Amino acid sequence: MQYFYRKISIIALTLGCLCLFSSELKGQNSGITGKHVLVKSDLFPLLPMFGRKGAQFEVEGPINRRMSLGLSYQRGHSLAEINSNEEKPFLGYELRGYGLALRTYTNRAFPAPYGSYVMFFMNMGRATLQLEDEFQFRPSVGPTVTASGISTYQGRYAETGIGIGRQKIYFSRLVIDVGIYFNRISIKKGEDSPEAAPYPTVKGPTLVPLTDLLYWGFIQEIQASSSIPTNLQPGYFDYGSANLALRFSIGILLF
Amino acid sequence: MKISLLFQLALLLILPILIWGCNPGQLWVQHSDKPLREVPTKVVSIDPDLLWLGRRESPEGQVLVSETRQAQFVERLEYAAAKAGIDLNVLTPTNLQGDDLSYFNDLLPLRRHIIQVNGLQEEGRSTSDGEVFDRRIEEEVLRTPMQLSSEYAYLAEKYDTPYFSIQGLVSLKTRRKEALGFIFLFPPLAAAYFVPKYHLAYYQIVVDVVSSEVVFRELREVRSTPTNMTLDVMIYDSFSLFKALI
Repeated sequence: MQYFYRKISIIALTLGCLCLFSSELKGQNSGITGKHVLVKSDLFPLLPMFGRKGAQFEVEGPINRRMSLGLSYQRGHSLAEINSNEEKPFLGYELRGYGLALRTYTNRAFPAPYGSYVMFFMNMGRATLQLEDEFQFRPSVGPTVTASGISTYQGRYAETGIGIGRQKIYFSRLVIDVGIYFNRISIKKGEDSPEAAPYPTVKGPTLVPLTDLLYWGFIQEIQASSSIPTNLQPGYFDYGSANLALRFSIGILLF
Repeated sequence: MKISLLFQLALLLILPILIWGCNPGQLWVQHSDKPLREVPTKVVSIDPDLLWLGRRESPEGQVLVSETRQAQFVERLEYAAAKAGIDLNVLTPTNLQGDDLSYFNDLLPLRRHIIQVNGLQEEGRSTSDGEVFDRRIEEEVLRTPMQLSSEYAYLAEKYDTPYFSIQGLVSLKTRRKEALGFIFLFPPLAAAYFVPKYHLAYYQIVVDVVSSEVVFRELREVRSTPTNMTLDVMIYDSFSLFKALI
């Protein structure tokens, strides 16, 4: 639980900083010609060519003149086979969770949610991790046999990140949101998970070739092999990745 | 050092840079602190200004373009003001009806007087010293509002509102000459020279002819193209601030 408390404290700190930047006028008008709420979806996860297949929807509304709050749902997986010579290569993950995005719109002359912004977001939810493991079993006759297979681990994930972008409205309804963000995904196995991995340590791949990751990020899977404590108990894993990714969202300004 | 710690440090370092680097724009608002005698629901706009400075047009061409675009500007003013709950009556020399000479007899002198008062009764503050543009957003309460002549008080009864206003829009399109400096450093960046740079400034002055004072004025500047949506957002916000702040 310490892990999530730490994440929440980072959010609280960032939220406090953003509020200081955004409280500038007594007349806290917001909204675009009277409309406040918009729904949008990031197109990149929807397209299979961008690696992380899935869907992401977000409902965004301003909370004061220059800040907006977005609630999102995301579901996606990155199950592309990545060949690796590591002892237990990483195969992919599937994420399902909800998120919170805070945007500070930087343009003083436009009220939120319109114009350029800086975004801080956090997503949490359930994660499924596929890893290749080695299994040892002893047949009734003969020596112990070691075989390899794919294990599926259930856990939780947390994704935090920052980004910049620009949101514009066309024809009074159509929302176009373009941006770039830097995020970090961390997947942990739940302490109370009934499953037990046959081997305690999990080594993810290190750097994936840049050509394979142009669609999704070029700093992927840095942390997997560097931050794992050596005293992990059986059944626990800690996987992390950092990404730099583009975002292109299309939505509708509702009311 | 763990990467998670590096990530948090990067977050703290990058965030302020991003906030200050993303098209900040400027907004400067001055308003009276005296309670209004009536809720502003109707405002008369006297001949809105429009200056459309393109990169290719000659000075004469820029005047012609400004004339043709003024109808579009008036249309956006009326639309966005209505959205903000204000009935904006825009009066220009081109939309006078019949032999109505009230514009020339009443409104044009008032317009000239408003501009004169705003220029002459500045409270020790001007844009020439850069003070206004140093701070990107500024709200100031007018303790001693700029005073008009009381001879225009009769217009409140004639136009059924004490609030008269002047709006203006300046759109400027230029080249990014600074991009040429990258020819020797990193030539691909010099291609930004061919991407035009836009500046958009909008201002509004609202006076109360019964109390004979300026009750609200604002200036906002953004780096954006003058699309209908951009104008709507700025004008709507301007009238909303007018209603909220005074």
